[in-house]
Amino acid sequence: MAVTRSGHDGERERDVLRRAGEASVLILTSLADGPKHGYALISDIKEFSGLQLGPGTLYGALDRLESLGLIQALPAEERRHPYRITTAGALALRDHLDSLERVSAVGRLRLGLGGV
Amino acid sequence: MSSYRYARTFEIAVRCYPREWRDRHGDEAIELAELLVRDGRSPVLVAWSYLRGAAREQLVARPSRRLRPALAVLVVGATVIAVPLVLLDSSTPANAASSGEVVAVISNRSNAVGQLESAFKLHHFNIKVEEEPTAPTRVGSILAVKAGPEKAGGHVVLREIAGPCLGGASGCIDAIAVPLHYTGKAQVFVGRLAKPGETYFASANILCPGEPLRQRWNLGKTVVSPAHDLPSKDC
Repeated sequence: MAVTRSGHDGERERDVLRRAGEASVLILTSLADGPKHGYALISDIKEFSGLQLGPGTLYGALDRLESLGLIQALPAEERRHPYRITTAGALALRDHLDSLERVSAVGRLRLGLGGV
Repeated sequence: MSSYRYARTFEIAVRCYPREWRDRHGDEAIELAELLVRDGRSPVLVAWSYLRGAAREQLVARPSRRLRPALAVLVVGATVIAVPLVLLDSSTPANAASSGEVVAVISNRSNAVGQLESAFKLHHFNIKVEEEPTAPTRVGSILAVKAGPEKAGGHVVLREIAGPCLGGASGCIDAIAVPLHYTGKAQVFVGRLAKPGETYFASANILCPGEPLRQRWNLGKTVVSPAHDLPSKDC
């Protein structure tokens, strides 16, 4: 993953989560404070975002994130497979949140709500 | 309504996924579905989420035959799973969470202890699970529950839920309902196959399918000649 911060085109390439879907962003955000398994992820996401992630959506996003190297499966605890965020995943999340903040600031400014 | 009643349905939904996916996520996915329903999530939406996920996975796993398996999953799944779920859902309103109970379910007899311990641990219940020797038909089911002094209105607060025994007979206990805020101590005894010479902790009807006398009776036919006259229910 590129780590440069110059230029919008470079940032667009760097933000690998741009097309990964909302579920992927929510999962990475949830894993940012420690490993979790499926049920803990869904409960945590509901708590901090109010969104109820479907279990089918969850597993699809987990597999996608793992194939991108953004999360890593830990040894199973009985039937449950916990996941942890990787360094690449943390960087990707940070880049995506930066991108969202910029969009948010412009949106708020244009709505007359005050920008950052 | 207890998620226990939906367990079989979720198993069917998970079977719509490719084998590789099932090997990796299958058991956890079923457990997750049961937990979500107990938390108040609609079983229809949970099953539908799995079906959509299965359709996506089929598209990925079989790129040479993209559309057919994915469509088959959605159409067959919607018919076989979603419709009965809607009917079940509308006829029985309360789920375990909304009725203030957590229902710990044994859906896999070979891992009964693990499933119960996992459910109790998740909700921080001080309930220990122990294995005791028993008859073949009661292996992997709950033999007894020993609760502490905590009671509500004079009634024991842990509620046993009956299910089928191995071999199809009825009368076994394969789920237990625990109040959400239960703080008492309890022990749950789960059956394991007795070794030669061991005493049964709890017995079963010896005429039931899978039990010793059932077999001998079939062989001897000295008292009742036709084997189909033997009891097959309420063993």
